[in-house]
Amino acid sequence: MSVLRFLRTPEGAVGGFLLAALAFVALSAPVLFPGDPLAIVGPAYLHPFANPAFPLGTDSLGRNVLAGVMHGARTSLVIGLAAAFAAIVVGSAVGTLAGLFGGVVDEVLMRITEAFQTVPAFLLALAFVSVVGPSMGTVVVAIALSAWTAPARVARAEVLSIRQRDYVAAARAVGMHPLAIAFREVLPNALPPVLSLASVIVASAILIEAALSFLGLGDPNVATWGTMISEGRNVLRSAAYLSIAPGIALMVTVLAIYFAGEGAVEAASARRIAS
Amino acid sequence: MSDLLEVRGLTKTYRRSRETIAALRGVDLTLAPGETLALVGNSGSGKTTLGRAIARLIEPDGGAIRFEGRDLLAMRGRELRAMRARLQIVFQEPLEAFNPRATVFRVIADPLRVHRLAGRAEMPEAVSRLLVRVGLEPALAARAVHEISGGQRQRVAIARAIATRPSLIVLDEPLSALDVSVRGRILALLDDLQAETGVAYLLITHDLGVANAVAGRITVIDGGSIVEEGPTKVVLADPQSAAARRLVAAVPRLHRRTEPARIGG
Repeated sequence: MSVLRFLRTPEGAVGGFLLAALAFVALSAPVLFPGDPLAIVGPAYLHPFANPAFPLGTDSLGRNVLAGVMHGARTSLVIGLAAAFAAIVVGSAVGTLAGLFGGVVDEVLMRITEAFQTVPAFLLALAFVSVVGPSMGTVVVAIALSAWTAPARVARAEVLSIRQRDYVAAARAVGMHPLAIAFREVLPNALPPVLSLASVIVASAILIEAALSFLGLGDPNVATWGTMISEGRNVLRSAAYLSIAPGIALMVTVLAIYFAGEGAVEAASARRIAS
Repeated sequence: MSDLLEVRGLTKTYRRSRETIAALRGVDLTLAPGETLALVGNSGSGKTTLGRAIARLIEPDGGAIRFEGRDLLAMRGRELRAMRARLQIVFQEPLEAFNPRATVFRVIADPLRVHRLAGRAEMPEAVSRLLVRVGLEPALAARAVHEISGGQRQRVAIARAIATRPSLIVLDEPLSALDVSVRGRILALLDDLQAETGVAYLLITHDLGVANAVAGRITVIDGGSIVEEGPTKVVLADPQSAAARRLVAAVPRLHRRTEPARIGG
């Protein structure tokens, strides 16, 4: 079983455990802290462990830091997963079409891909959100806007080797429509190496989202770790915990995703050796 | 002339970094309805290129192909896809010829679905019929293509090819990846299907024994050109071209004088 093989790698075990914990935190946030995590619920600048009602203390406005961190996990995971999903869907579609049809289609699609790659991911996201305005949706699009290029290139390379295979010739001989061949015959077989990029994309998406929020370009209506770190920065000398708590959450999340990705790659290569 | 297939002056050149290789140098070929023509030649003689060009999987550089009275090379898009129901191909390596994620059901259902020969409701029944027709259990439909044996796979490939009731099937070395014990049974199946449906075969092979068993006529290709053509018995008994003589000499059964000396006991 591949899940077992994944959990048997050290990276997979650590990453899997941390991700499960994070998912639990994200899912239980609205149960444990119903209502708005941005609402003022107590005195300002309450330090961690000083009051059992606010284990991680409160911020400059008297908002519950623990509620913020837990709701922030939701934001980070939702944006990370949504951006990675969008990037992989768009990227693998573009890569498949470029690789399969070749010629002018390939040239045009790959030049567009390169154009996107030349702009630094964060600057592109920054510019997009500045123009369109911050919200969960635009942040996801902004991140996906630069993240789709890597899956596109990997999918194209994979498709270039798959399209020489006889089963693609057989699908043509059957009379299948070229788009059906692209998305039913070729793409599913090109996908595994593309999916191995997912962990990197999710992790970098979460970091970009945090950075955007840090600069005040996150969705103002949801709790995000980036915003919390940014707000804590002003009182770093007197109340460092305001930045440290979401900072640790961010670090653990990104590490967990990298570990899980490493574990998945290792489990997949172990299976290849075994078979 | 009422030929099913007429190939005239077909040329194809592969370019590989400055080097050009002429795979086909003006090939002529005809095939009558219901006939089996063996196309024999050594590796690199151009026989697979010719077979794939006829199946419109490789674009030739020049020449003409008429199939069922129509200009095959002029067909594009929807017209070409519709024509493919009439002209099928079976590949040498059956495992390579299937999507590695596919089940037997999907492989056989694909042509029926693409050419609207069976709706979703009739599909299981239609696939079962085809499986039985090629001598397989209907229960095999649920299996993945990589789980079944090589002989079963080639039967599935044949079922896919006959699903649309084509008038011509290009058989590209259909036996060479199979165990010797399975070959005879696949040949018998191909023979049965021809007797039943009147389908014509273009059988590509380097094995003159196979050609002799099923083909009434034989065409020898060498270096991208047809060098000899005639009734199978005549060509095998008295090969005229150097290429045909080489092929005949390579079959011990047909060339007693060069039978290898036995070594040891």
